[in-house]
Amino acid sequence: MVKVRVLEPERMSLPGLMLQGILERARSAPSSRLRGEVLVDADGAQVTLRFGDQLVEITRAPAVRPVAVVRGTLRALLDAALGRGRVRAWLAGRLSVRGGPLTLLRLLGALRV
Amino acid sequence: MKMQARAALVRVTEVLGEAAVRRDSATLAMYGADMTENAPGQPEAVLRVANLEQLTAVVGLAGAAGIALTPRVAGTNLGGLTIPSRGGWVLDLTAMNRIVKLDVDDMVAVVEPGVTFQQLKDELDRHPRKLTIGFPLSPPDTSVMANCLLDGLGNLSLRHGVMGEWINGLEVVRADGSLLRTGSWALGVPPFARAPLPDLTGLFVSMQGATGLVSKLAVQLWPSPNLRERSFAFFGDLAGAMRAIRELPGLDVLDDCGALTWPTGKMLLGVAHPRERDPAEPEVFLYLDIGAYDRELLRAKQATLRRYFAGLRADGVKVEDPIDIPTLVRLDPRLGKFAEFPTRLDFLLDHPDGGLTWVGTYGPMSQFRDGAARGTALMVEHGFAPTIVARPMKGGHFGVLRFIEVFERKSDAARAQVLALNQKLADMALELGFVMYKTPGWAVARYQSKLDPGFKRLLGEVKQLLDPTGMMNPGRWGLG
Repeated sequence: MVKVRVLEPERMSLPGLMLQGILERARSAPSSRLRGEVLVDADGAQVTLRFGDQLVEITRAPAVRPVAVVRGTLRALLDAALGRGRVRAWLAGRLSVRGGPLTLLRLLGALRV
Repeated sequence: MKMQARAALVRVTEVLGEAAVRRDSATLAMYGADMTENAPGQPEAVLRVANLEQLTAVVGLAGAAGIALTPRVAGTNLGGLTIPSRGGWVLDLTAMNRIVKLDVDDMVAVVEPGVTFQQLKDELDRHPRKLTIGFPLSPPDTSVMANCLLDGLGNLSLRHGVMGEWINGLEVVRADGSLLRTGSWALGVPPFARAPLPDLTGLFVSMQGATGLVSKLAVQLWPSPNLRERSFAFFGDLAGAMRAIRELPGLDVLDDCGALTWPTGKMLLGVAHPRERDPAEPEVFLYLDIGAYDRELLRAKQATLRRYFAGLRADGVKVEDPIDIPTLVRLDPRLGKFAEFPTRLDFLLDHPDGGLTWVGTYGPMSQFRDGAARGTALMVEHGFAPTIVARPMKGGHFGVLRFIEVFERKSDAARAQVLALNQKLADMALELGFVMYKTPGWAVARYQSKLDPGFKRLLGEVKQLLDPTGMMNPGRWGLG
Protein backbone atom coordinates (compact mmCIF):
# COMPACT_ATOMS: atom_id res chain seq x y z
CA MET A 1 0.00 0.00 0.00
CA VAL A 2 1.25 3.41 -0.92
CA LYS A 3 2.04 5.86 1.86
CA VAL A 4 0.69 9.39 1.58
CA ARG A 5 2.42 12.12 3.52
CA VAL A 6 1.35 15.74 3.87
CA LEU A 7 4.34 18.04 4.27
CA GLU A 8 3.72 20.84 6.80
CA PRO A 9 0.12 19.80 7.51
CA GLU A 10 -0.50 22.93 9.57
CA ARG A 11 -0.03 24.95 6.35
CA MET A 12 -1.82 22.57 4.01
CA SER A 13 -4.91 23.75 2.18
CA LEU A 14 -8.24 21.98 2.29
CA PRO A 15 -7.87 20.62 -1.28
CA GLY A 16 -4.48 19.17 -0.28
CA LEU A 17 -5.95 17.48 2.79
CA MET A 18 -8.82 16.09 0.76
CA LEU A 19 -6.38 14.78 -1.84
CA GLN A 20 -4.61 12.94 0.95
CA GLY A 21 -7.88 11.20 1.83
CA ILE A 22 -8.57 10.42 -1.83
CA LEU A 23 -5.09 8.99 -2.48
CA GLU A 24 -5.31 6.85 0.65
CA ARG A 25 -8.67 5.47 -0.37
CA ALA A 26 -8.09 5.22 -4.12
CA ARG A 27 -9.33 2.04 -5.78
CA SER A 28 -5.84 1.27 -6.96
CA ALA A 29 -2.40 2.27 -5.76
CA PRO A 30 -0.56 4.63 -8.09
CA SER A 31 1.22 2.80 -10.85
CA SER A 32 4.92 2.33 -10.18
CA ARG A 33 5.43 4.09 -13.49
CA LEU A 34 3.79 7.25 -12.19
CA ARG A 35 6.72 9.34 -11.08
CA GLY A 36 7.44 13.03 -10.67
CA GLU A 37 5.42 16.06 -9.68
CA VAL A 38 1.79 16.72 -10.50
CA LEU A 39 0.29 20.15 -10.01
CA VAL A 40 -3.30 20.23 -8.81
CA ASP A 41 -5.05 23.58 -8.88
CA ALA A 42 -8.44 23.76 -7.13
CA ASP A 43 -10.00 27.16 -7.72
CA GLY A 44 -6.52 28.68 -7.52
CA ALA A 45 -5.38 26.76 -4.41
CA GLN A 46 -2.37 24.88 -5.73
CA VAL A 47 -0.78 21.77 -4.31
CA THR A 48 1.95 19.56 -5.66
CA LEU A 49 1.74 15.78 -5.55
CA ARG A 50 5.17 14.13 -5.61
CA PHE A 51 4.89 10.53 -6.75
CA GLY A 52 7.87 8.45 -5.64
CA ASP A 53 8.62 4.87 -4.70
CA GLN A 54 5.69 3.69 -2.54
CA LEU A 55 5.25 7.25 -1.32
CA VAL A 56 3.21 10.26 -2.37
CA GLU A 57 4.07 13.58 -0.78
CA ILE A 58 1.63 16.49 -0.83
CA THR A 59 3.11 19.93 -0.51
CA ARG A 60 2.23 23.54 -1.14
CA ALA A 61 5.69 24.09 -2.57
CA PRO A 62 5.33 24.87 -6.28
CA ALA A 63 5.89 22.07 -8.78
CA VAL A 64 9.13 22.70 -10.65
CA ARG A 65 8.59 20.65 -13.79
CA PRO A 66 5.23 18.90 -13.41
CA VAL A 67 4.55 15.79 -15.48
CA ALA A 68 0.85 16.65 -15.35
CA VAL A 69 -1.39 19.54 -14.40
CA VAL A 70 -4.98 19.21 -13.25
CA ARG A 71 -7.04 22.36 -12.84
CA GLY A 72 -10.65 22.77 -11.88
CA THR A 73 -13.15 23.89 -9.36
CA LEU A 74 -12.97 22.00 -6.06
CA ARG A 75 -16.37 20.52 -6.84
CA ALA A 76 -15.24 19.32 -10.29
CA LEU A 77 -12.12 17.73 -8.79
CA LEU A 78 -14.13 15.95 -6.11
CA ASP A 79 -16.65 14.75 -8.70
CA ALA A 80 -13.78 13.48 -10.83
CA ALA A 81 -12.44 11.52 -7.86
CA LEU A 82 -15.85 9.90 -7.58
CA GLY A 83 -15.88 9.12 -11.30
CA ARG A 84 -18.76 11.52 -11.89
CA GLY A 85 -19.16 13.81 -14.84
CA ARG A 86 -15.49 14.16 -15.80
CA VAL A 87 -16.27 14.67 -19.46
CA ARG A 88 -19.13 17.09 -18.72
CA ALA A 89 -16.91 19.09 -16.38
CA TRP A 90 -14.16 19.14 -18.99
CA LEU A 91 -16.55 20.26 -21.72
CA ALA A 92 -17.97 22.96 -19.44
CA GLY A 93 -14.46 24.23 -18.70
CA ARG A 94 -14.69 23.35 -15.01
CA LEU A 95 -11.91 20.78 -15.30
CA SER A 96 -8.78 20.74 -17.41
CA VAL A 97 -5.88 18.31 -17.58
CA ARG A 98 -2.47 18.59 -19.22
CA GLY A 99 0.23 15.98 -19.58
CA GLY A 100 1.10 12.83 -21.47
CA PRO A 101 -1.87 10.52 -22.10
CA LEU A 102 -0.32 7.58 -20.23
CA THR A 103 0.61 9.76 -17.26
CA LEU A 104 -2.91 11.18 -17.13
CA LEU A 105 -4.43 7.72 -17.32
CA ARG A 106 -2.28 6.54 -14.41
CA LEU A 107 -3.00 9.72 -12.47
CA LEU A 108 -6.76 9.50 -12.86
CA GLY A 109 -6.62 5.90 -11.64
CA ALA A 110 -4.72 6.98 -8.54
CA LEU A 111 -7.27 9.69 -7.79
CA ARG A 112 -10.42 7.60 -8.15
CA VAL A 113 -12.07 6.38 -4.97
CA MET B 1 -13.49 21.12 57.92
CA LYS B 2 -15.93 22.51 60.46
CA MET B 3 -17.54 20.10 62.91
CA GLN B 4 -21.00 20.71 61.46
CA ALA B 5 -19.77 19.94 57.96
CA ARG B 6 -18.00 16.82 59.20
CA ALA B 7 -21.19 15.61 60.85
CA ALA B 8 -23.16 16.31 57.66
CA LEU B 9 -20.68 14.25 55.68
CA VAL B 10 -21.07 11.33 58.08
CA ARG B 11 -24.82 11.58 57.79
CA VAL B 12 -24.81 11.89 54.01
CA THR B 13 -22.56 8.82 53.81
CA GLU B 14 -25.20 6.91 55.76
CA VAL B 15 -27.86 8.07 53.31
CA LEU B 16 -25.96 7.42 50.05
CA GLY B 17 -23.67 4.58 51.07
CA GLU B 18 -19.89 4.75 51.30
CA ALA B 19 -19.28 3.93 47.65
CA ALA B 20 -21.25 7.01 46.60
CA VAL B 21 -19.16 9.45 48.64
CA ARG B 22 -15.70 10.14 47.23
CA ARG B 23 -13.02 12.20 48.93
CA ASP B 24 -9.83 10.86 47.36
CA SER B 25 -7.58 13.50 45.86
CA ALA B 26 -7.84 12.19 42.27
CA THR B 27 -11.64 12.36 42.30
CA LEU B 28 -11.69 15.77 43.97
CA ALA B 29 -9.22 17.09 41.40
CA MET B 30 -11.23 15.67 38.51
CA TYR B 31 -14.50 17.17 39.72
CA GLY B 32 -12.83 20.43 40.70
CA ALA B 33 -11.77 21.25 37.16
CA ASP B 34 -12.87 21.09 33.55
CA MET B 35 -11.29 21.50 30.13
CA THR B 36 -11.58 25.30 30.09
CA GLU B 37 -9.27 28.08 31.22
CA ASN B 38 -11.37 28.66 34.35
CA ALA B 39 -9.46 28.22 37.60
CA PRO B 40 -10.07 24.90 39.33
CA GLY B 41 -12.06 24.70 42.57
CA GLN B 42 -11.65 22.50 45.61
CA PRO B 43 -14.69 20.40 46.46
CA GLU B 44 -14.73 18.74 49.87
CA ALA B 45 -16.58 15.69 48.58
CA VAL B 46 -18.15 14.26 45.45
CA LEU B 47 -21.53 12.65 46.03
CA ARG B 48 -23.08 10.27 43.55
CA VAL B 49 -26.81 10.78 43.90
CA ALA B 50 -29.06 8.08 42.46
CA ASN B 51 -32.65 9.20 43.05
CA LEU B 52 -34.98 11.98 44.15
CA GLU B 53 -35.15 10.79 47.77
CA GLN B 54 -31.38 10.92 48.04
CA LEU B 55 -31.29 14.33 46.36
CA THR B 56 -33.78 15.89 48.76
CA ALA B 57 -31.95 14.34 51.72
CA VAL B 58 -28.61 15.71 50.50
CA VAL B 59 -30.08 19.19 49.99
CA GLY B 60 -31.59 19.08 53.49
CA LEU B 61 -28.30 18.05 55.10
CA ALA B 62 -26.26 20.56 53.11
CA GLY B 63 -28.71 23.34 53.93
CA ALA B 64 -28.57 22.63 57.65
CA ALA B 65 -24.75 22.61 57.63
CA GLY B 66 -24.27 25.56 55.25
CA ILE B 67 -22.52 23.47 52.59
CA ALA B 68 -22.42 24.67 48.99
CA LEU B 69 -23.82 22.34 46.32
CA THR B 70 -22.63 22.20 42.72
CA PRO B 71 -24.63 19.94 40.37
CA ARG B 72 -22.80 18.15 37.59
CA VAL B 73 -23.48 15.56 34.91
CA ALA B 74 -20.93 15.32 32.06
CA GLY B 75 -19.03 18.47 33.07
CA THR B 76 -18.35 19.32 29.43
CA ASN B 77 -19.88 22.80 29.35
CA LEU B 78 -17.34 25.40 28.28
CA GLY B 79 -18.27 28.01 30.88
CA GLY B 80 -16.65 26.43 33.94
CA LEU B 81 -20.17 26.09 35.36
CA THR B 82 -19.59 22.85 37.26
CA ILE B 83 -16.41 24.05 38.94
CA PRO B 84 -17.26 24.42 42.64
CA SER B 85 -16.16 28.01 43.18
CA ARG B 86 -16.70 27.85 46.93
CA GLY B 87 -15.85 24.24 47.75
CA GLY B 88 -18.62 22.16 49.28
CA TRP B 89 -20.12 19.10 47.68
CA VAL B 90 -20.25 18.33 43.98
CA LEU B 91 -23.37 16.33 43.18
CA ASP B 92 -22.71 13.85 40.40
CA LEU B 93 -26.18 13.30 38.95
CA THR B 94 -25.25 10.84 36.18
CA ALA B 95 -26.97 7.97 38.03
CA MET B 96 -30.28 9.86 38.07
CA ASN B 97 -30.84 8.76 34.51
CA ARG B 98 -34.42 7.56 34.17
CA ILE B 99 -36.54 8.50 31.23
CA VAL B 100 -39.56 8.84 33.46
CA LYS B 101 -42.09 9.18 30.67
CA LEU B 102 -42.05 9.25 26.91
CA ASP B 103 -45.38 10.51 25.66
CA VAL B 104 -45.25 10.12 21.90
CA ASP B 105 -48.84 11.31 21.41
CA ASP B 106 -48.23 14.62 23.16
CA MET B 107 -44.60 14.77 22.02
CA VAL B 108 -43.03 15.29 25.42
CA ALA B 109 -40.37 13.43 27.40
CA VAL B 110 -39.90 13.62 31.15
CA VAL B 111 -36.30 12.97 32.06
CA GLU B 112 -33.99 13.06 35.05
CA PRO B 113 -30.75 15.06 35.05
CA GLY B 114 -28.49 12.17 34.02
CA VAL B 115 -30.40 11.25 30.86
CA THR B 116 -28.06 11.76 27.93
CA PHE B 117 -28.79 12.72 24.35
CA GLN B 118 -27.69 9.29 23.13
CA GLN B 119 -29.90 7.56 25.69
CA LEU B 120 -32.95 9.59 24.70
CA LYS B 121 -32.25 9.06 21.00
CA ASP B 122 -31.97 5.29 21.50
CA GLU B 123 -35.29 5.29 23.33
CA LEU B 124 -36.99 7.45 20.69
CA ASP B 125 -35.67 5.22 17.91
CA ARG B 126 -37.51 2.26 19.43
CA HIS B 127 -40.93 3.84 18.82
CA PRO B 128 -42.84 3.49 15.57
CA ARG B 129 -43.79 7.18 15.57
CA LYS B 130 -40.57 8.89 14.70
CA LEU B 131 -39.81 11.72 17.08
CA THR B 132 -36.56 13.47 17.81
CA ILE B 133 -34.97 16.09 20.01
CA GLY B 134 -32.43 18.68 18.94
CA PHE B 135 -28.85 17.51 19.35
CA PRO B 136 -26.09 19.93 20.32
CA LEU B 137 -22.55 19.63 19.01
CA SER B 138 -21.53 18.35 22.42
CA PRO B 139 -20.72 14.69 23.10
CA PRO B 140 -23.53 12.09 23.09
CA ASP B 141 -23.09 11.52 26.84
CA THR B 142 -24.04 15.06 27.78
CA SER B 143 -27.20 15.81 29.70
CA VAL B 144 -30.43 16.73 27.92
CA MET B 145 -31.54 18.59 31.02
CA ALA B 146 -28.35 20.58 31.39
CA ASN B 147 -28.48 21.79 27.79
CA CYS B 148 -32.12 22.84 28.19
CA LEU B 149 -31.62 24.55 31.55
CA LEU B 150 -28.55 26.40 30.28
CA ASP B 151 -30.38 27.69 27.20
CA GLY B 152 -28.14 25.71 24.89
CA LEU B 153 -29.03 24.94 21.30
CA GLY B 154 -29.38 21.92 19.10
CA ASN B 155 -29.73 20.98 15.47
CA LEU B 156 -33.41 22.00 15.45
CA SER B 157 -32.77 25.43 16.90
CA LEU B 158 -33.02 27.11 13.53
CA ARG B 159 -36.70 26.17 13.62
CA HIS B 160 -37.44 26.11 17.34
CA GLY B 161 -34.99 28.40 19.13
CA VAL B 162 -32.93 27.76 22.26
CA MET B 163 -33.65 24.55 24.14
CA GLY B 164 -34.70 26.50 27.22
CA GLU B 165 -37.83 27.37 25.25
CA TRP B 166 -38.60 23.68 24.76
CA ILE B 167 -39.13 23.15 28.47
CA ASN B 168 -42.77 22.40 29.29
CA GLY B 169 -42.24 22.10 33.02
CA LEU B 170 -39.80 21.31 35.78
CA GLU B 171 -39.69 19.46 39.05
CA VAL B 172 -37.33 21.30 41.37
CA VAL B 173 -35.76 20.56 44.74
CA ARG B 174 -35.63 23.90 46.50
CA ALA B 175 -32.95 24.95 48.94
CA ASP B 176 -35.19 24.07 51.89
CA GLY B 177 -35.56 20.52 50.57
CA SER B 178 -39.15 21.01 49.38
CA LEU B 179 -40.36 20.17 45.88
CA LEU B 180 -42.18 22.25 43.32
CA ARG B 181 -43.49 21.68 39.82
CA THR B 182 -43.85 24.32 37.11
CA GLY B 183 -45.85 24.69 33.91
CA SER B 184 -49.13 22.87 33.45
CA TRP B 185 -47.59 20.18 35.67
CA ALA B 186 -48.35 22.45 38.65
CA LEU B 187 -52.02 21.55 38.27
CA GLY B 188 -51.33 17.83 38.26
CA VAL B 189 -52.06 17.50 34.56
CA PRO B 190 -49.47 16.35 32.01
CA PRO B 191 -46.72 18.90 31.27
CA PHE B 192 -48.02 19.93 27.84
CA ALA B 193 -46.83 23.54 28.04
CA ARG B 194 -45.62 26.33 30.33
CA ALA B 195 -48.69 28.36 29.47
CA PRO B 196 -51.18 29.44 30.69
CA LEU B 197 -50.03 29.51 34.32
CA PRO B 198 -47.58 32.16 35.56
CA ASP B 199 -44.26 31.09 34.06
CA LEU B 200 -42.17 30.13 37.07
CA THR B 201 -40.01 27.82 34.94
CA GLY B 202 -37.92 30.82 34.00
CA LEU B 203 -36.72 31.11 37.60
CA PHE B 204 -34.55 28.05 36.93
CA VAL B 205 -33.53 28.56 33.30
CA SER B 206 -30.04 29.96 32.60
CA MET B 207 -29.66 30.31 36.39
CA GLN B 208 -26.87 27.70 36.35
CA GLY B 209 -28.31 25.88 39.35
CA ALA B 210 -28.23 28.96 41.57
CA THR B 211 -31.94 28.87 42.45
CA GLY B 212 -32.68 25.16 42.89
CA LEU B 213 -31.80 21.67 41.77
CA VAL B 214 -33.96 20.44 38.93
CA SER B 215 -34.84 16.78 39.37
CA LYS B 216 -37.16 16.31 36.40
CA LEU B 217 -37.51 18.06 33.09
CA ALA B 218 -40.47 17.86 30.74
CA VAL B 219 -39.13 18.66 27.28
CA GLN B 220 -40.74 18.99 23.88
CA LEU B 221 -40.02 16.45 21.16
CA TRP B 222 -40.40 17.05 17.45
CA PRO B 223 -41.50 14.93 14.50
CA SER B 224 -38.55 13.39 12.72
CA PRO B 225 -38.83 13.70 8.93
CA ASN B 226 -38.85 10.51 6.89
CA LEU B 227 -36.11 11.81 4.63
CA ARG B 228 -33.08 13.87 5.45
CA GLU B 229 -30.20 15.29 3.44
CA ARG B 230 -27.19 16.82 5.09
CA SER B 231 -24.63 18.59 2.96
CA PHE B 232 -21.76 21.05 2.94
CA ALA B 233 -21.25 24.07 0.72
CA PHE B 234 -17.79 25.58 0.45
CA PHE B 235 -17.64 29.38 0.48
CA GLY B 236 -14.64 31.34 -0.78
CA ASP B 237 -14.95 33.99 1.90
CA LEU B 238 -16.53 34.84 5.22
CA ALA B 239 -18.66 37.69 3.89
CA GLY B 240 -20.43 35.44 1.37
CA ALA B 241 -21.08 32.78 3.99
CA MET B 242 -22.42 35.31 6.50
CA ARG B 243 -24.76 36.66 3.87
CA ALA B 244 -26.06 33.14 3.24
CA ILE B 245 -26.49 32.52 6.97
CA ARG B 246 -28.68 35.61 7.19
CA GLU B 247 -30.72 34.88 4.09
CA LEU B 248 -31.18 31.10 4.25
CA PRO B 249 -33.72 31.05 7.11
CA GLY B 250 -36.01 33.11 4.88
CA LEU B 251 -36.19 30.26 2.35
CA ASP B 252 -37.89 28.09 4.99
CA VAL B 253 -36.40 24.89 3.60
CA LEU B 254 -33.71 24.12 6.18
CA ASP B 255 -33.91 22.36 9.53
CA ASP B 256 -30.39 23.44 10.42
CA CYS B 257 -27.63 25.55 9.02
CA GLY B 258 -24.20 26.39 10.38
CA ALA B 259 -21.04 28.04 9.16
CA LEU B 260 -17.68 26.62 10.22
CA THR B 261 -14.49 28.45 9.34
CA TRP B 262 -11.48 26.76 7.75
CA PRO B 263 -9.61 25.70 10.92
CA THR B 264 -12.56 23.50 11.94
CA GLY B 265 -12.51 21.73 8.59
CA LYS B 266 -8.79 21.12 8.81
CA MET B 267 -8.98 19.83 12.38
CA LEU B 268 -11.73 17.52 11.21
CA LEU B 269 -9.26 16.24 8.61
CA GLY B 270 -6.61 15.52 11.21
CA VAL B 271 -4.57 18.72 11.46
CA ALA B 272 -4.19 19.48 15.16
CA HIS B 273 -2.89 23.02 14.74
CA PRO B 274 -4.00 24.59 11.46
CA ARG B 275 -1.95 27.75 11.07
CA GLU B 276 -2.34 29.08 7.59
CA ARG B 277 -4.95 29.46 4.95
CA ASP B 278 -4.27 29.54 1.23
CA PRO B 279 -6.15 32.67 0.11
CA ALA B 280 -7.64 30.66 -2.75
CA GLU B 281 -9.08 27.86 -0.63
CA PRO B 282 -12.55 27.93 0.94
CA GLU B 283 -12.74 30.08 4.06
CA VAL B 284 -16.05 28.72 5.32
CA PHE B 285 -17.97 25.44 5.13
CA LEU B 286 -21.69 25.83 5.40
CA TYR B 287 -23.48 22.85 6.89
CA LEU B 288 -27.04 22.42 5.58
CA ASP B 289 -29.73 20.05 6.79
CA ILE B 290 -32.98 19.43 4.91
CA GLY B 291 -35.76 17.20 6.18
CA ALA B 292 -38.89 16.21 4.29
CA TYR B 293 -41.95 14.02 4.64
CA ASP B 294 -41.55 12.56 1.16
CA ARG B 295 -39.20 12.56 -1.81
CA GLU B 296 -41.24 15.12 -3.73
CA LEU B 297 -40.90 17.66 -0.94
CA LEU B 298 -37.20 16.88 -0.54
CA ARG B 299 -36.61 17.48 -4.25
CA ALA B 300 -38.54 20.75 -4.09
CA LYS B 301 -36.41 21.93 -1.18
CA GLN B 302 -33.20 20.86 -2.93
CA ALA B 303 -34.28 22.76 -6.02
CA THR B 304 -34.98 25.90 -3.97
CA LEU B 305 -31.51 25.64 -2.44
CA ARG B 306 -29.87 25.21 -5.85
CA ARG B 307 -31.68 28.28 -7.17
CA TYR B 308 -30.55 30.23 -4.12
CA PHE B 309 -26.92 29.21 -4.61
CA ALA B 310 -27.11 30.05 -8.32
CA GLY B 311 -28.34 33.50 -7.30
CA LEU B 312 -25.40 33.91 -4.94
CA ARG B 313 -22.98 33.01 -7.72
CA ALA B 314 -24.72 35.45 -10.05
CA ASP B 315 -24.05 38.11 -7.41
CA GLY B 316 -20.35 37.23 -7.42
CA VAL B 317 -20.25 35.08 -4.27
CA LYS B 318 -17.65 32.33 -4.63
CA VAL B 319 -19.62 29.19 -3.80
CA GLU B 320 -20.65 25.98 -5.53
CA ASP B 321 -23.70 23.81 -5.00
CA PRO B 322 -23.71 21.85 -1.72
CA ILE B 323 -22.21 18.36 -1.67
CA ASP B 324 -24.13 15.79 0.34
CA ILE B 325 -22.30 14.26 3.27
CA PRO B 326 -22.49 10.61 2.10
CA THR B 327 -20.60 11.70 -1.01
CA LEU B 328 -17.99 13.51 1.08
CA VAL B 329 -17.67 10.45 3.31
CA ARG B 330 -16.80 8.36 0.25
CA LEU B 331 -13.90 10.73 -0.30
CA ASP B 332 -12.88 10.84 3.36
CA PRO B 333 -14.74 9.04 6.17
CA ARG B 334 -13.60 11.66 8.69
CA LEU B 335 -16.11 14.01 7.12
CA GLY B 336 -18.85 11.76 8.48
CA LYS B 337 -18.75 13.51 11.86
CA PHE B 338 -21.71 15.60 10.74
CA ALA B 339 -23.64 12.73 9.17
CA GLU B 340 -25.53 11.65 12.28
CA PHE B 341 -26.39 13.24 15.62
CA PRO B 342 -25.52 13.15 18.43
CA THR B 343 -21.89 13.22 17.37
CA ARG B 344 -18.60 13.44 19.17
CA LEU B 345 -16.26 16.08 17.79
CA ASP B 346 -13.17 14.27 19.03
CA PHE B 347 -10.82 16.52 17.10
CA LEU B 348 -11.78 19.23 19.61
CA LEU B 349 -12.57 17.19 22.74
CA ASP B 350 -9.52 14.94 22.55
CA HIS B 351 -7.15 17.57 21.23
CA PRO B 352 -3.54 16.83 22.24
CA ASP B 353 -3.28 20.22 23.99
CA GLY B 354 -6.09 19.18 26.37
CA GLY B 355 -7.76 22.59 26.69
CA LEU B 356 -10.94 23.66 24.95
CA THR B 357 -12.86 26.86 25.48
CA TRP B 358 -15.00 29.38 23.68
CA VAL B 359 -16.82 32.61 23.67
CA GLY B 360 -20.28 31.37 22.71
CA THR B 361 -22.79 34.16 22.13
CA TYR B 362 -26.32 34.82 20.99
CA GLY B 363 -26.98 38.04 19.16
CA PRO B 364 -28.55 39.92 16.28
CA MET B 365 -27.98 38.46 12.85
CA SER B 366 -27.65 41.95 11.41
CA GLN B 367 -24.25 42.07 13.16
CA PHE B 368 -23.03 38.59 12.17
CA ARG B 369 -20.70 39.74 9.46
CA ASP B 370 -19.01 42.38 11.62
CA GLY B 371 -18.84 40.06 14.62
CA ALA B 372 -17.25 37.25 12.64
CA ALA B 373 -14.78 39.57 10.91
CA ARG B 374 -13.73 41.35 14.11
CA GLY B 375 -13.53 38.05 16.00
CA THR B 376 -11.34 36.57 13.28
CA ALA B 377 -8.98 39.54 13.50
CA LEU B 378 -8.75 39.30 17.31
CA MET B 379 -8.05 35.56 17.25
CA VAL B 380 -5.33 35.91 14.64
CA GLU B 381 -3.80 38.86 16.52
CA HIS B 382 -3.55 36.64 19.63
CA GLY B 383 -1.97 33.76 17.75
CA PHE B 384 -5.04 31.51 17.51
CA ALA B 385 -6.56 29.94 14.42
CA PRO B 386 -9.85 31.77 13.72
CA THR B 387 -12.18 28.91 14.56
CA ILE B 388 -15.70 30.27 14.35
CA VAL B 389 -19.10 28.62 14.25
CA ALA B 390 -22.15 30.67 13.31
CA ARG B 391 -25.74 29.48 13.13
CA PRO B 392 -29.08 31.21 12.66
CA MET B 393 -31.68 30.49 15.33
CA LYS B 394 -35.45 30.53 15.55
CA GLY B 395 -36.20 31.28 11.94
CA GLY B 396 -33.45 33.87 11.80
CA HIS B 397 -34.66 36.06 14.67
CA PHE B 398 -31.19 35.82 16.16
CA GLY B 399 -28.10 33.70 15.82
CA VAL B 400 -25.26 32.00 17.61
CA LEU B 401 -21.71 33.16 17.04
CA ARG B 402 -18.96 31.16 18.71
CA PHE B 403 -15.24 31.67 18.85
CA ILE B 404 -13.51 28.41 19.77
CA GLU B 405 -9.95 27.88 20.99
CA VAL B 406 -7.87 24.84 21.81
CA PHE B 407 -4.97 25.51 24.15
CA GLU B 408 -2.41 23.80 26.33
CA ARG B 409 -4.41 23.25 29.46
CA LYS B 410 -1.44 22.45 31.66
CA SER B 411 0.32 25.71 30.82
CA ASP B 412 -0.51 28.67 33.05
CA ALA B 413 0.72 31.03 30.35
CA ALA B 414 -1.57 29.46 27.76
CA ARG B 415 -4.54 29.68 30.12
CA ALA B 416 -3.82 33.34 30.78
CA GLN B 417 -3.41 34.00 27.07
CA VAL B 418 -6.70 32.35 26.17
CA LEU B 419 -8.54 34.13 28.98
CA ALA B 420 -7.21 37.49 27.77
CA LEU B 421 -8.41 36.69 24.26
CA ASN B 422 -11.81 35.51 25.47
CA GLN B 423 -12.31 38.70 27.45
CA LYS B 424 -11.57 40.79 24.37
CA LEU B 425 -13.85 38.64 22.24
CA ALA B 426 -16.67 38.93 24.78
CA ASP B 427 -16.27 42.72 24.96
CA MET B 428 -16.22 43.03 21.19
CA ALA B 429 -19.25 40.77 20.90
CA LEU B 430 -21.21 42.73 23.48
CA GLU B 431 -20.47 45.98 21.65
CA LEU B 432 -22.26 44.44 18.67
CA GLY B 433 -25.11 43.09 20.78
CA PHE B 434 -23.95 39.50 21.33
CA VAL B 435 -24.36 38.05 24.83
CA MET B 436 -22.55 34.94 26.09
CA TYR B 437 -24.73 31.93 26.90
CA LYS B 438 -23.73 29.31 29.49
CA THR B 439 -22.11 32.46 30.80
CA PRO B 440 -18.82 31.88 32.63
CA GLY B 441 -18.04 33.76 35.84
CA TRP B 442 -15.42 35.99 34.23
CA ALA B 443 -17.98 37.17 31.67
CA VAL B 444 -20.62 37.76 34.36
CA ALA B 445 -18.10 40.01 36.13
CA ARG B 446 -17.71 42.04 32.92
CA TYR B 447 -21.48 42.29 32.45
CA GLN B 448 -22.17 43.51 36.00
CA SER B 449 -21.61 47.21 35.33
CA LYS B 450 -23.73 47.07 32.18
CA LEU B 451 -26.73 45.18 33.55
CA ASP B 452 -29.95 47.12 33.92
CA PRO B 453 -30.11 48.08 37.62
CA GLY B 454 -33.69 46.88 37.94
CA PHE B 455 -32.81 43.51 36.43
CA LYS B 456 -29.80 43.17 38.70
CA ARG B 457 -31.81 44.02 41.80
CA LEU B 458 -34.58 41.57 40.98
CA LEU B 459 -32.05 38.85 40.20
CA GLY B 460 -30.57 39.31 43.67
CA GLU B 461 -34.01 39.28 45.26
CA VAL B 462 -34.95 36.08 43.41
CA LYS B 463 -31.75 34.45 44.63
CA GLN B 464 -32.42 35.61 48.18
CA LEU B 465 -35.96 34.28 48.04
CA LEU B 466 -35.10 30.87 46.59
CA ASP B 467 -31.71 30.31 48.17
CA PRO B 468 -31.42 32.49 51.28
CA THR B 469 -28.25 30.78 52.54
CA GLY B 470 -26.51 30.93 49.16
CA MET B 471 -25.82 27.19 49.01
CA MET B 472 -26.95 26.56 45.43
CA ASN B 473 -23.95 26.68 43.06
CA PRO B 474 -22.71 29.86 44.75
CA GLY B 475 -20.98 32.53 42.74
CA ARG B 476 -22.99 31.99 39.55
CA TRP B 477 -24.24 35.25 38.11
CA GLY B 478 -22.30 36.92 40.91
CA LEU B 479 -24.85 35.64 43.42
CA GLY B 480 -24.59 33.82 46.73
